[in-house]
Amino acid sequence: MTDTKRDRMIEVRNLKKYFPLEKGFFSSLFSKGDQKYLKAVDGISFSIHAGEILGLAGESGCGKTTTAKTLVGLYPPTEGKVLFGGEEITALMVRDRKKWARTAQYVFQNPYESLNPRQTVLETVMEGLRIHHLGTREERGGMAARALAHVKMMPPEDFFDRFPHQLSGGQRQRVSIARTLVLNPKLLIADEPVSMLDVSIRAEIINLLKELTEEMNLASLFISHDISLIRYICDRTAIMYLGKIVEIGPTEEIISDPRHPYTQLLLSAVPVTDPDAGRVRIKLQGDVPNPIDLPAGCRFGPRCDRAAEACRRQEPGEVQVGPDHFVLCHRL
Amino acid sequence: MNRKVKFFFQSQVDVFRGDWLGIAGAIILGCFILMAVFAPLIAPYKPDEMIYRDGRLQRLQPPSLRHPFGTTQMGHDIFSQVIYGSRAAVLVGVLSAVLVSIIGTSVGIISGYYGGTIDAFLMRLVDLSFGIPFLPFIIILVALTGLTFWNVVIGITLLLWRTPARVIRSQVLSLKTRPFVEASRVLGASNFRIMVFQIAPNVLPLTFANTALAMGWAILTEANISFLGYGDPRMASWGKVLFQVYILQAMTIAWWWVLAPGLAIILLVLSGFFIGRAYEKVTNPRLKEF
Amino acid sequence: MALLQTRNLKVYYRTTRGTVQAVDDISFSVEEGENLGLVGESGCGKTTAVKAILRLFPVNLALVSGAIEYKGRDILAMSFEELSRLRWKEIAMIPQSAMNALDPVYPVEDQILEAIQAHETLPYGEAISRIQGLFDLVGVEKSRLKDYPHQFSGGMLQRACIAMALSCSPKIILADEPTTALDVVVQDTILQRIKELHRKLNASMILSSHDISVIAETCDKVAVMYAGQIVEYGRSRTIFGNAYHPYALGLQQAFPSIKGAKKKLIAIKGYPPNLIHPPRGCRFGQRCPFRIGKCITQDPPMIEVEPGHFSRCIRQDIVDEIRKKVSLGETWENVAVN
Repeated sequence: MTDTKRDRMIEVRNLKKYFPLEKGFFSSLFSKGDQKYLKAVDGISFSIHAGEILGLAGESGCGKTTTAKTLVGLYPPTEGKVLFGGEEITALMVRDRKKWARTAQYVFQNPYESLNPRQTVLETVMEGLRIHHLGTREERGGMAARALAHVKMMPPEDFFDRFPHQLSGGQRQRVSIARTLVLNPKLLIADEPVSMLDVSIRAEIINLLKELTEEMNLASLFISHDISLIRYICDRTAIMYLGKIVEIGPTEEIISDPRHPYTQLLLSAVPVTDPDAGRVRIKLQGDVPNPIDLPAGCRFGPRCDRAAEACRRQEPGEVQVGPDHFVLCHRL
Repeated sequence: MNRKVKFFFQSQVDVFRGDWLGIAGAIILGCFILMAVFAPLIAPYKPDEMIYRDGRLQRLQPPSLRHPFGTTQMGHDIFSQVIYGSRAAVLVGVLSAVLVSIIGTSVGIISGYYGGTIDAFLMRLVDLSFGIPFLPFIIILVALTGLTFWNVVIGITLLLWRTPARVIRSQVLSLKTRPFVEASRVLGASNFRIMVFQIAPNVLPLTFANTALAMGWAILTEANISFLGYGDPRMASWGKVLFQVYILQAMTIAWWWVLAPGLAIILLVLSGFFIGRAYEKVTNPRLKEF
Repeated sequence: MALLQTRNLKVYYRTTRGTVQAVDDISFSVEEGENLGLVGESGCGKTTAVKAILRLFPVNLALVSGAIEYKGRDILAMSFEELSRLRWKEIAMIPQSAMNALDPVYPVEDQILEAIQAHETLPYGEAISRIQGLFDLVGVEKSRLKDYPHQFSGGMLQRACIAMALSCSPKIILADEPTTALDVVVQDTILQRIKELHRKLNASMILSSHDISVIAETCDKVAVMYAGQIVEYGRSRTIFGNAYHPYALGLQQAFPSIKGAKKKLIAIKGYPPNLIHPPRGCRFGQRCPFRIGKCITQDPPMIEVEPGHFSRCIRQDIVDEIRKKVSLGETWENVAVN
């Protein structure tokens, strides 16, 4: 996808991640079928600029977490390119995971499971420093304190000796963020960072992520299944469906004028608090298809209310519907 | 650092909270350890000292104030034998248990974490060692290499590590999928670092459980070995006492000769099991509290 | 007379650290054909309250008091036989995670059959046709009846659980966070089903959720719960338009919305109180931007601020000011939480 010329930070081109499926003992003996793959991510492209938050929305199984983990180097990409600051780093991401960790970091979804229950806050935050041999012993305490201050845990020293079970969910998530900050990353991926927190404290973390992105000029990828949350924090949004980005563009534009049938469906399904606001609901056909046996042609076709012959035969190409707004559909 | 140490000790105390058997076990173990350490001060006689009174050898004396556990056919004070015997028991028990735990835990962590060929290979080793009968192996080993205390410890260690290895491996299998391990990887940690700093501290309760249980087994084994006559002849041991009764077939005439060492073995082995049980309860997923 | 009426319900349970006052004196009612929503965050007691209606208590129950009257008879005082006749036939429940509520080793049809046969004497053939009808009603293909739970998707499983709850045509359906684990599109499908069923069967529903938009769309009456108590209670329309209690207002401000202008998302500082030693006075006091001395020293009573609309807050005299200020970030940021 082409983009306006700005200082590109992260660019992803045609990224694919396939997982080979294990065949049963007998079927591998007797059947001569091809190796089947779970095409979790099937050719996506996007870019995130410094100081920008890109939202990645979609339902479970659409491939957003796989995208995130591939981007951070946990999975080697099957195909495609990742560029950072204009340079291709696809091979580096995998070969030298440790080096890439200085650039790309990740905040996990579950604050109750993403901190080692036997490590104090200080140890958890300092871990990155230890791994990468940053700072001297004396300096590390200060660096950790600064990271904790950055995530508004004040005064930092009070939290040094606490264990995760002595912290609330919101505090744990902040520690999770702090430990990535000590490495001074350029790309921050937050995977459903608030979905396991109580609603009344979500805004703290959300607002924090927004502030950090601006202050530290990060390129942030915010993953969520909650579109209303994405609207609140993301400058641009990509909608994923079964491994493909079906629509991408400025968030407000996507929300006010969704062009892809799936985006329209997604938005119409969000419940609204005002009991009087009648929602116009789009009727859904069929259930979520099996990501292993993808339909021919457009993968949203079977559930789409305006699927035509072309949709069944051929996968749609990218169509530009706005200066920065792209859709994958035949029927616009 | 201080806080962490305090937390560590506090969590050990927490393990025993409300568990009467565990507390009893800990107390018993404590008593035996003290007994072993201060044996020369506590025991009224040497274990193989032939005791004469008014010129007569005090053979087969039933328990009395002077000899709380009575005396043997050779005029030895059984009470002193029990006290000195605690040294062998505690030493073998603790030493073997520690070695077994270290080996078993390390194998378990490496096997569970890496999976694949390493796991397959190590687990086949474990399978192999399960196939070897415990006592006969040690007897043969000791018979071949010499009847020494150390050979007994080595024999026990060579086989007992198989159980903790399996158990720890199971827990590592589930631990390694938890987000905080992945988080460490994302930060750039090497496998070694993850195993040592993330995985190992979290299998600690299970390791302690296994250590205590292994201790029980080791003590029982040492008693068995000595009873069968393969123990270190220079060391006082409860099993050796029972060995002597058995040879002389004096069980029916001198019940006290059997009772004292027998009780000591039972108590110490049980203490190991009770402590192990207390730790095992901790490793079970606890109900979340409000 | 209301179909279901709880009066001063208390449910406490024991833990190693003390007795948790999970539900502490709540009262609500549901009329025939009406939907009641219990909304609140984790630990507020809504699940405990819902389960209490069917007398599903945890093993470590310490205390249960008050009354839960169904058609005038107190469920808490019933004999076990009477309760068994009530369960599923009169009041049924859709549990929180459908995936975990069904036995993985039996086909779904068998499980629903079991539910029916445990409560009614119905010949096999009739029971099966009833089950088929139910699957039609919830929108799952009849051909899936003989499948095992793991062959269903999350949404289908939830619908199967709904079918199971409806199998004996109850008068009241309890739904504990029915859509929490589901994707938004599936959630929408389920909610539509629930509303349709509600219309067709004229059954009442008690729905618990932390998602206020789900409650707003499906319920006629709402009880906002916090720390084991109901802090606001009234018709859905009034609560979501004109709430009185700062927590209820704050909660609404913390929910991002797709529609309308992008408002400021607020966060309520602090966290819910310890229910083993609940604080004196208003339980929300510590986190409330509008607290005064009296709030902390005296337990606030439920005040009828408008006909049929109750709020557990003594500051209703300045409600206009409160409503204006809750949408401002500074209001919440400046709270001094101890």
